[in-house]
Amino acid sequence: MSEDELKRIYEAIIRVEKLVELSDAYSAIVNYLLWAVIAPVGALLSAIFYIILGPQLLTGIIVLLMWFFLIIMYWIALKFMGKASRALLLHRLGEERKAIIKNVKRKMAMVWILLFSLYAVLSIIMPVDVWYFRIIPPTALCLVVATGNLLMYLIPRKYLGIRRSEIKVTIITLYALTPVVALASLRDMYLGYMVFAAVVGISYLCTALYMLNYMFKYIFIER
Amino acid sequence: MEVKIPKDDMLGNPTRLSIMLHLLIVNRATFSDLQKALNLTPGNLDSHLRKLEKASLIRIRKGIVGLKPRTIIMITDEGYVRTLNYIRSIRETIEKVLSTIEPKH
Repeated sequence: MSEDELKRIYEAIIRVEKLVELSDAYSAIVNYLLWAVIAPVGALLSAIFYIILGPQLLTGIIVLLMWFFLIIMYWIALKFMGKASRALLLHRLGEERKAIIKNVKRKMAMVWILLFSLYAVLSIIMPVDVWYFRIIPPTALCLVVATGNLLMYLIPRKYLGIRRSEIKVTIITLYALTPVVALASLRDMYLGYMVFAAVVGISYLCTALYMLNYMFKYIFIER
Repeated sequence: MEVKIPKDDMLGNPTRLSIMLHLLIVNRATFSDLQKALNLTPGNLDSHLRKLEKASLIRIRKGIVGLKPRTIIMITDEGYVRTLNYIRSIRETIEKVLSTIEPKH
C-alpha cells in the first residue's frame, strides 16, 4: 500500500467520523425540537384541564394519562426517525459497552421517575392555607425538569465519559428562569404553569439552536 | 508498506464494513436503498445482513415506507459503537504508520 493510498484512507475515515458527528448532532436537534413542542403543549393542556375541571383526583388522572400519551408519541416519533438511541451516544468514542449503556439508560429513567414521584408527593402533602401555596407546584415542576436535565448531563459523564455540553444550555436556561415561573405563580398558579410551559419550550429551543450553530459552524466555516 | 488492520471477524469483511458505514451515517435504510447504494445482489446483501443481525450489530424489521411494505435495516447501539471503534482503530494505525514515514522534501 502506498503512502498516498494510506493518506486517502485516513482522510476518508476522518470524513466518515465527521459525518457521524453531524448525524448525531442532527439527532440531538430533532430530540430537542420535539421536546420544545411536547413540553409547552403538555403543560398548556395540563393548565387547561385544571382550569376546566378544577383541582380534583379526576383532573390529576386525566393529566397523567395525557402526559403518558405525549411521551409515547415522542418515543414513536423518535423510533420512526431512527433517532432514539443516538442522543445518549453523542460525543461517544470511549470504551462504552452495551451493558454499561443499558445500565446508564436505566439510571436515567429512574432519575425522572424519582423526580416526578417527588413532585407528585409534594403536590399531595403541600399546605393549602399558606400565602405561598400557589408558587410551589409550578416552581417545583420547573426545578424538577432542571434537576432532571442536570442529572442527564452528570450520569453519562460519570459512567461513559460522555460530555453532552449542549444540555448545559437547557440547565442554565431552566434554572435562570425559575424565579420568573415563581413570580408568575404568585399571581396565579395556572399562569405559573403557562409560564413554565413557555420556559421549557424556550430552553429546548435554545439548546436546538446551540446544536444548529455547531452544525453550521462545521459545514460553512471549518470544512 | 504493510499495514496491520485491527482484527474483527464481522467488520473485517469489506462488504459488511461498507453496510455498517452506510448505516452509521443514515441510521436506517431499506433493503433496496442499501442494495442500490452498495451495488450488491439481493442474495449477497441478504447473507451479509443475516450475519450482522446474528452479531447484534443491526436490526431487521418489516415496515411500511411510502405505503409499500419494505424491509428496514437499523443499526443497533452495539453496532454503532463497534463500527466507530473499528474505524477509529484503523485511523490510529494509519496515523502511527504515517508518523514513521519521513516527510518528502
